[in-house]
Amino acid sequence: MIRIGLIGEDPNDTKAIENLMRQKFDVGFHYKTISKNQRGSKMFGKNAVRSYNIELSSSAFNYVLVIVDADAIITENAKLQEKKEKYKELEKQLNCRCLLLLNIYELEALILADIAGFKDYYQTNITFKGSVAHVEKPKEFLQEKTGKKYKVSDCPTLFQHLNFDTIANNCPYFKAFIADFEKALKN
Amino acid sequence: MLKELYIENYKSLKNVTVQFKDGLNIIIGKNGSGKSNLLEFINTDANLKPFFVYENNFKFASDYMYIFSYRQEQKKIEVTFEVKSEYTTENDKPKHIQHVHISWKNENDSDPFLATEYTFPDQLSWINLNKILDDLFQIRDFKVNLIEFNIPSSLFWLDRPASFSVNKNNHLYYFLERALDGFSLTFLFGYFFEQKLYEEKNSIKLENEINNIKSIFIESFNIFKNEHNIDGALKLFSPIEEIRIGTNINIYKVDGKILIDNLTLEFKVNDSWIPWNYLSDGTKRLFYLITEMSCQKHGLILIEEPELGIHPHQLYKLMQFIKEQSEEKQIIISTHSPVVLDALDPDELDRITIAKIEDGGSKFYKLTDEQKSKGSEYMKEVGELSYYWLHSDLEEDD
Repeated sequence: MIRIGLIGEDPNDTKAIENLMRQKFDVGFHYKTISKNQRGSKMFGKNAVRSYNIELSSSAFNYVLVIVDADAIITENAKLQEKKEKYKELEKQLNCRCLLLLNIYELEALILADIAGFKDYYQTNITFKGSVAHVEKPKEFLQEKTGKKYKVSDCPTLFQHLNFDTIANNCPYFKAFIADFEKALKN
Repeated sequence: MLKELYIENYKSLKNVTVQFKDGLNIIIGKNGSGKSNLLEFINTDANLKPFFVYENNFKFASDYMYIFSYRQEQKKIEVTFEVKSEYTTENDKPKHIQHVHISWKNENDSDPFLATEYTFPDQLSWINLNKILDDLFQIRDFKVNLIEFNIPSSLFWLDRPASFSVNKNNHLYYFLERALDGFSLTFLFGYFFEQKLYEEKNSIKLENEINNIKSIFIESFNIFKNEHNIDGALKLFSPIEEIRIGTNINIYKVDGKILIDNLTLEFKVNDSWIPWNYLSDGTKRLFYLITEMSCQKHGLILIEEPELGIHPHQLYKLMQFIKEQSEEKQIIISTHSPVVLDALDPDELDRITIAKIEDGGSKFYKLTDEQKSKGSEYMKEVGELSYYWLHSDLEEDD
């Protein structure tokens, strides 16, 4: 059994990614959100880090997936670097091997990568063409296009309906993350 | 002390065993996990108050057992009750027969338990139980008090001034009982029933005391307040600095009757005397919690969510008060508040009980050794046990 821990800025984010990962990595995998109900930048706070290590020492994990919103598009290098540095600082303090999923701009970019799945789930006429890594505020985009039908709390269920392979094909950073994940599993 | 409880078929409590500790016990669990049902059951049945069978298909014939021990004259007696209920009908009326098997031994006594049995043609009442305890061990006042979410709706004296009349030929005790009519708080019951004045005056004719009634009220109230340190506790743990009998009591003699008018309590808050209705909801609840606990010297107190309507800083203080109170009596709290959980010390983690729904019914668990160890780590590293509760898997299996 490969035990995967998840750390994120929002419980909906970690559960959504867990559900997406289960589409491809389910049998033989055990997922657990480490330190639930964290919000925003608190995930990097001292108490949060201490709690992660208590959890990591109480049960063995093979890897911890750290899910962070970049709050920047792919061309905003300085902002992306800032988030990566924050992650590296966290990684140094954790007693476990980690992998970063840095969502550009935020989790909803992955939804844009399978817009057909989203359209089917909400029964809307939404369309999206272009690079998901160049969309600023994809959450607001989805809310606007659905008349606020889309809600963040829908994400865990929504991500069960989206297609893993479609997302990987249309979202370069997610594809790279999965490649890193598969490589890590072999080590 | 309520030590262990076994319950069958009471609402969500299908088949439940719960252990309790002396002093403070804290029950946590999600909404609908059975915390309130448990407290309600203990209040109804450990107290052995009359119980009504309200559904035809509901059989209150559950075998339940509770064990408690008492300290008296520095002697600890361990008493085990096994109460078996039979529910039958007689002339189409519900009939409830109870068989009570009681066994006991003194602490550190190597002799086996002594035992005796009682059968009651009707449901065992609190009065009967106290009689047994008195006969066997000279133990009295086995008392259970449930402090619920809501302040009792009937607050004669508090939310409105009391006015009543009595025949002037009555004894004073009748007058006092009349004044009590409608009270639902231990605090106000205690005012009359516990103070010595009641016994001293119960043979005195009311008409002989007519000129002293006002001073009798005030004097006895002050004795009661001091005996239970009511003002001291309210001042330390609530915004109320002091309480008193309202100064505007009027006594009239009318056609052979004595009329008492405008009997009420007043509360000193921010240096001003105000009536009950001017207190905030949170302050009212603090008054309710503090006075109920202060006025019950021993036995068992059940508290539903002490945090309701209380500011976090005030709740922190209230938990200090509850912990102090739990040194003399057993207290069982249900809560959803991190502040309540954070009142525990690292060596008190076995005071936590977790309520869960499993297989369609409530279950109650103590922390495992692993959970206790993790809880201690959280207290040491993060500084708060509640962090473990809020962000980890304390209530869930991995």
